[in-house]
Amino acid sequence: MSAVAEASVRELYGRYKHLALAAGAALLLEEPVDGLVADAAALAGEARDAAAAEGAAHASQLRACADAASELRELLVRGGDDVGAARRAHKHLRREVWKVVPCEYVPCCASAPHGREGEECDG
Amino acid sequence: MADYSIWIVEYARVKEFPEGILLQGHYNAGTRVAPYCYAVVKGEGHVAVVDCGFDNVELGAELARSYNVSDWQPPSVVLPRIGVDPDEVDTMILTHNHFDHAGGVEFFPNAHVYFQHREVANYMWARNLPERLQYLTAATDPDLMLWLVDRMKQGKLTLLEEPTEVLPGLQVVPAHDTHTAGSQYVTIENGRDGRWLLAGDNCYVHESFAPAKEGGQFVPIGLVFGSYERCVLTMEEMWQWVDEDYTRIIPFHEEGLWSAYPSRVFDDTLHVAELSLAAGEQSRVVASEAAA
Repeated sequence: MSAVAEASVRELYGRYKHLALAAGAALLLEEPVDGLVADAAALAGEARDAAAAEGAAHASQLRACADAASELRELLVRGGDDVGAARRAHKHLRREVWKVVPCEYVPCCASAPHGREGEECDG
Repeated sequence: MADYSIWIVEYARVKEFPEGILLQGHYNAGTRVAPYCYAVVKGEGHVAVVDCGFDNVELGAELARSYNVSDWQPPSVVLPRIGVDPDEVDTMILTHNHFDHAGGVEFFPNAHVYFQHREVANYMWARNLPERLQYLTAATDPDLMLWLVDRMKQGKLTLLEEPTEVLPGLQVVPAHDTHTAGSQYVTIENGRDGRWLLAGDNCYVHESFAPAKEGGQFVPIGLVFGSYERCVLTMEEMWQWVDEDYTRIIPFHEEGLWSAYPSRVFDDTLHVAELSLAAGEQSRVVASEAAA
């Protein structure tokens, strides 16, 4: 598992998470979403390209990120109607990411990635 | 005046919770039991919950494992102990967006949700923060925002910006930039027995207030995403509202609740505390009192 590939997952997931929080917030606050739609499309494209470039190493995580960003974009375009697909894609991405990078939640010790058998998080 | 029954329902616990998180400055002070609770307020034709616990699957299960949460039970198990069905709950007040307070929203399909506008707006502000600042939103999950969008579409969401009476005598009060950007707490003017304040995580344990009763200082919580200044000033606001009787302030992680108020422990070791009983209501904790 390359550190570069892991950093790529972490970076794209971090961007996705902030984007998803902001997308939900924009819909709740009825703020303009044009910029978020563009960002989601860009993120989906980058994640898809990264999945292709990285080969098999973290392809499933990167594809999950691309799918989640795409579903987020669709949700924004729909004005927030039918959140089911976006929620499912988000949950799938979360599961995939925790297989290779530590839990980002605070105050978890984050020393052991979620989903890695045999390792305990002692925080 | 309003007449409510008020119960605190324990749905899980952490058996070794670090003191330094519960109380600022209590570093290297070991651990203690920290219950995970939410409140149920029933009366005036309503059933309300203040916070809702978490669902022990996916994110909830991962975080429960991380924090060593044990003894978890869903609302379908703990609420019947006080004669409440989760489907009856028509009002849900979320004190803040952390998994142990707002991760169980789907257990209450019929509830109208009250949440702070500031908690949501903060995610817009945080949108373009660099990775190195991710601590500021790390303890939150986007799924609640998406669920709230759906709830809004159903006309069952109100985002609050100022102190608001959401039920007769029950007010939701902002506590911005404290534990989280858009925290809130709940005050109840109960005709039968006076004032109650449901603190959320604006304090974790009564020891935050107890020293002030002896002329000492408040001890704020040890996990703050806002500012300690706002935490302490919010504690002062709460202290004044209960006229310095901090036993009327109910923290949701206080193990001492079970001895401070009439309570009952169930076979799975989880507790219910009964703060107040409305006219005509039967006590749900009499079995314990009889046993004692």
